[in-house]
Amino acid sequence: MRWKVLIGVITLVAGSVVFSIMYLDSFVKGKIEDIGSGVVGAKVSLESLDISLKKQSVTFLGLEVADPKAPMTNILELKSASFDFSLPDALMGHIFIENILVDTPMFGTKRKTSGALPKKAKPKEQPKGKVAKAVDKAAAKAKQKALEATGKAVAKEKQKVKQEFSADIDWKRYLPDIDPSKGVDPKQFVNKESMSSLKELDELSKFAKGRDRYWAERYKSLEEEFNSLKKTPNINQPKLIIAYRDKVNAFREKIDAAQKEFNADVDKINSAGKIIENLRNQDISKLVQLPQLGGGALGGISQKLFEDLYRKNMEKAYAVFEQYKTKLVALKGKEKEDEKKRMKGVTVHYPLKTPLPLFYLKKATFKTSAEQKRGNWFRGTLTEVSSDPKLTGKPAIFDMEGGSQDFPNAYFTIKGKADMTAKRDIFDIKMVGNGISTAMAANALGPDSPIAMTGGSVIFSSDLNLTGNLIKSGFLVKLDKIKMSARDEGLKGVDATVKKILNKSLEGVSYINLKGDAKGTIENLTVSITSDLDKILKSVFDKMLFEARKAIEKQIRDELNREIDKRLPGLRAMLTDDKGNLKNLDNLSGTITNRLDAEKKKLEKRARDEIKKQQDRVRAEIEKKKKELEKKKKEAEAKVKAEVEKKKKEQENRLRKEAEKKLRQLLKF
Amino acid sequence: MFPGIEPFSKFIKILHSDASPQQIAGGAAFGMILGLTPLWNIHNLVILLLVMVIRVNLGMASISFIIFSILAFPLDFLSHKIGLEVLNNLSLRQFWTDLYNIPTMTWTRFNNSIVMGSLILSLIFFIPVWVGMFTFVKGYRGSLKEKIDNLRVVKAITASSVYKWYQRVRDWTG
Repeated sequence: MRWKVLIGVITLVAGSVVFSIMYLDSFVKGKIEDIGSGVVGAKVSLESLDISLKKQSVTFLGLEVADPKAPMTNILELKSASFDFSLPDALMGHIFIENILVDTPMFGTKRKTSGALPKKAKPKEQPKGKVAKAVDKAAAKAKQKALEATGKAVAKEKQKVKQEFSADIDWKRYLPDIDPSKGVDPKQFVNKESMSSLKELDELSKFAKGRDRYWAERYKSLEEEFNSLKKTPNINQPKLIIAYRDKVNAFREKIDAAQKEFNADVDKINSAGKIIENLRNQDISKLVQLPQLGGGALGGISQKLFEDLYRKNMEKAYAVFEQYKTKLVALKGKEKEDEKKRMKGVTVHYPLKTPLPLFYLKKATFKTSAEQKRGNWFRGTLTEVSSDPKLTGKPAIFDMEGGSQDFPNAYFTIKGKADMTAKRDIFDIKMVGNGISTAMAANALGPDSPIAMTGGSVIFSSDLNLTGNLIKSGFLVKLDKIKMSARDEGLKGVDATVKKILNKSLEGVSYINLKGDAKGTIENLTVSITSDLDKILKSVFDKMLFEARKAIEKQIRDELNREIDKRLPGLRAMLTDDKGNLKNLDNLSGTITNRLDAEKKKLEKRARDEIKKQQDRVRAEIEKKKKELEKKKKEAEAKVKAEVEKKKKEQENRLRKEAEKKLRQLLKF
Repeated sequence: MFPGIEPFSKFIKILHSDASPQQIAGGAAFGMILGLTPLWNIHNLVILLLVMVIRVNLGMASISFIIFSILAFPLDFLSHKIGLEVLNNLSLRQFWTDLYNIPTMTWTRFNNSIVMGSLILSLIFFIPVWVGMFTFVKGYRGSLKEKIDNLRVVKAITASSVYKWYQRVRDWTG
């Protein structure tokens, strides 16, 4: 054992750790800026970053992410963000954040300096000598041989796969469209159209071929132009000299433009590998999900068998991708670099138990105070966000509000829920939310629209599905309390009456419902919107018609009344005499009076008879009651008399007995 | 000075040095792992640490590393095939999946066919290389050295003015 070396190594490692901790902040800051700039394609800058391993907290100040399309604008800017984390969990790849506070997040703010990334200076190519050319020729030959050898090896592999298929798997049961006896091409497994990586490869291949021809022609034309410029004009003719100078300057600009275009092509080819790698991973995820979806040629296949088939063959397909990639890169003169390198091999991926690093954010608070509102600002909270939905058992909840610099009086609030799952680098986000934006002042229907809209509130609800960079969303928007009018710019050549009617109709519209669908990728989104404006306009128009009809009815009625009033005195004169009595009606009046009198008498007689009848009945009743009472009185009297008699006798008997007793006592005495 | 001859002369020097056959064999075996597997990998850090800490011959390790780095190019195809077979093996699938799910394990790039295949290949060769080198050094130092020195060709070469000139230059350049 070399103890001194061991101690040296340990000291070195310890020193490295201490050094890393000391310079961790600037190291991570640099990494964030570098990687961020690479990903965004524009400057990502951080004012400062403070990582405290002791306190287990991170604070960063002044984050600015420039917009690659508009370098003087920031896509995102925030004043500061801070959160605590658990170091042991972080070392295990688990990120648990209790609360993250994001201060003053804003979109679309102006930058003081350009956020465009500096272009890399291309190394100047040295003119090749005879030796170099001979070496190149030899290298090309060697490469050709190597490619042939690889081709043979691939053919051998294919043969092996063919045998494996026919021996082990009853493939026809699962994949009836594939006949391995004719050679198995992995691309047959899936619809090529659905494989974005294959499509991208084809497109890149086409692009590379097309551009090759394009550049050959372009160089030729530039060369011709250059040759024509070789003839310099006579120095004694200033006019020609000026014209020649202008031509040279124009040619220089052409060369610069061509250089720029060529650099863009090189960048595209250089980044092709990474893009294809990402797309391939997406395709893998899609393919693995296919059997779960059911239907189609892969409907009945089991997950295990499919994975087995997939892995055995997709790796071969990937070898084809690699070949394409090598070809593409070779087109841009990178073959020498690749020749020096060893084979890259194939990276095999396995199912992830937790697709993302275990991530849990209890609450994120986005804070923007009133005086800090610049650009497109927002504030609010985001809670219960996790890469593993089982961890929280509920969707993430967002509650945000914000405003836009383009609509100074506008203000929105949005609340909702989001379910998030992820597979490797593919996120699947389902969001359901609703919100309100007040004072939406805009010609929302566009400059060519025949209708202008101002003011009002926007109330919306939406659901959003984001899988990878694929978006599918449906939304409902209600524009409330808006003011609408016809726009002359949008109604050129339209009849004045129609304009008038439209204007009148629009006056009555105070709200519109919009229903929309958004489909596509983040970069290429197709949005279709339908509104009920036509229905609303129809109902308003119906209302207008109804009102117009009512007005006409009223007019006719008034006209009639006027006519009646006019004719009434004449009619009245015809029917009445000088005293105002109706003519020829007196007789009729007498008859009615007599008839009424007769009726009255009849009724009086009937009433009298009835009264008498009632009186007799009551009287008889009274008599009867009287007799009954008298009878009861006699009975009572007889009873009392008998009782008195009885008492009297008892009294007499008792007195007699007492008297006899006293007498007897006296006699005895 | 003499790029083709230098490793060879170094090797001869090591054979003639005080280093034990075990140390030389260890150096050759560990150097082989470094050479056959892709260099920038975590497992090579461990191997490098072992080479530096354990008493193996560093010179032999560096020679072995150079030789096997060159051999790695034609062997890559074989490594790729072995690696792919092992990584796609159904009975080992659960094990690889479990490893894949340990966050730090993916840093080792174990799921790359070349890394896995070349590591397996170098582990298979480890004992044969060690035993072969040990036997060779022992044999060389025992009787082979004497036999080689007594060969007429060797005697003629060592007696030649070119060899003497080479020796002078070598000693001068160190």
